[in-house]
Parts: sequence; C-alpha cells; structure tokens
Amino acid sequence: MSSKKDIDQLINNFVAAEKDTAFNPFLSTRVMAAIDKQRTEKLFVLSPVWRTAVIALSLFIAVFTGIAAGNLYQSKNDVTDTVLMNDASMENFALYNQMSNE
Amino acid sequence: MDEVELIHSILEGDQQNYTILIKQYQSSVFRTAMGLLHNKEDAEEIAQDVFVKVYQSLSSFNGKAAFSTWLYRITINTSLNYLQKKKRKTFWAGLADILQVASKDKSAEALLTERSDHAVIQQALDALPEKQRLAFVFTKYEELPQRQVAEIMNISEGAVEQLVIRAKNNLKKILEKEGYGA
Repeated sequence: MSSKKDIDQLINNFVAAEKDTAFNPFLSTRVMAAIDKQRTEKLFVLSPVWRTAVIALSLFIAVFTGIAAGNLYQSKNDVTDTVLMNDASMENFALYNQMSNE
Repeated sequence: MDEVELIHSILEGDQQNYTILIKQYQSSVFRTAMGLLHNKEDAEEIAQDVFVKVYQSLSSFNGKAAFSTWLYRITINTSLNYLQKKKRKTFWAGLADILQVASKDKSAEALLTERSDHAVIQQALDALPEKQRLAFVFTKYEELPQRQVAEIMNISEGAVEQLVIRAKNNLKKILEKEGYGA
C-alpha cells in the first residue's frame, strides 16, 4: 500500500477497473431461459382458492370411489337358508341328551 | 423500430424483441450493479433478475419517464435489496472471521497492510451514505448527466451535484484515515 498515491487517481483506477469488467455475453439467453422457466412453473402453480377446491374435489372423488368400490363387491359365499326335508338325517337329539348325562 | 414500438411489440407477445432490448441495456444494468456490489457474479445475477422483473412488469411501464430511468430505478432497488440480504447472510460468517483473526493475534496494522488498494477503496465506497453512493455510481460509472441522475433519484439537479461533491470528500476522508494521500 502506497501512502503517496494520489487519492483521485486511485479512485479513478478503481472505477475504470470495475467499468471494464466483462460480463457474460449470454446474459440475454439466460434471461429468456429464466422467463420461460417461470412461465412454465406458473402454469402448474394454482391460486390458493383453486388449490383448496382441487384438494376438496380430490378428497370427494377418493371417498366416492371408495364407497362405489365397496358396493361393487359381491361375496361368492352367499349363505342361503335351506330347509332340511329328509327326516332320516335330522340331528340326533338323543346324542346330546347322552352327552349331558355323562 | 424505436423504443416505444419495441416495448409495444414485446407486450403483444414478440419475445424475440425483448432480446434486442436486453442487448441495448445490459451493459448499463451490469455496470450499475457492479458499482454497488463490486462483484462480477453478483452483478450478473442482479442483471438477470432485473431483466426478468422488467419483462414481468413491462405492462405497468406508463412511459411518463424514459425507459432507461425506469430500468435504473429497478436496478438500484434490486441491488440494494440484494446487498441487505447478503449482509444478513454474512453477519455470522463475518463474526466467525473476526474471531478467527483475533485468535491468530494479528495486529490491526498488519491486517491493514494485507488489504489491497482496491479492497480499501471498495470498503470506503460501501461506507458512503446510500444517496451519495448512488449519485457517485451514476455519475462516475454510468457517466449520466445530472438531469437524468436527478430524475432517477427523484431529487433536484443541485442536490445531485451536492451529493457527488460530498461523496468525493467523504471518500477522501476515509482513504486519508487509511493512510492514503498523506
């Protein structure tokens, strides 16, 4: 550091050096890319009102689909009431009586 | 095609013409940002931000002031906001540096001799009050006429002149304190 240096000259040199700094020649390309990127992002960004509406709708669709899917289900093991007509194969009550007497 | 026609065509959707506008003003925006930030990468980032902001708010440009005046205002606002954010970010990093320096037991004099002329002038410029700094950057870096600086800063031409004189005097005082020009 030279204390003898002329202050004005030092300031002028500093300013000239900063003014001469070269910038990226592709600045305009970078700017246009940034603008395009923001535009694309904007398409997918919904306003808060729409966001709430979309969430509510999605929830409704999910619940409705769940209920509909549940109603579609049909069990293959349907229990049907049958009447036993054959007396010969009727339950042997005597057997129960015998067991309770043991 | 003049500037107003160019802006109208961009607003009508001709993106290609915005490239022409960028190329016309990129050096001015970069130099102004450079004068306030003193860092190439930061100045480039600011220039990019400025042109994106300008594109987004081009419809709000009413044409009362010159386009360049509007552009310079956006540039200084963006640069000053960036500086504030950067200061907040570097506060803790700076504190760590001070502690590190103190632990090495370096004297203030030794530290001063380590700093380059440019670093000292940069610090002196940054130490100037905001309005003085802006007036200095516009007149020294951009070499704008006082009338335009006054329009950008929304002050009188006389006030601009005073700000530049005070900026130069303050710079000299700060640098003399640092041992220059003695």
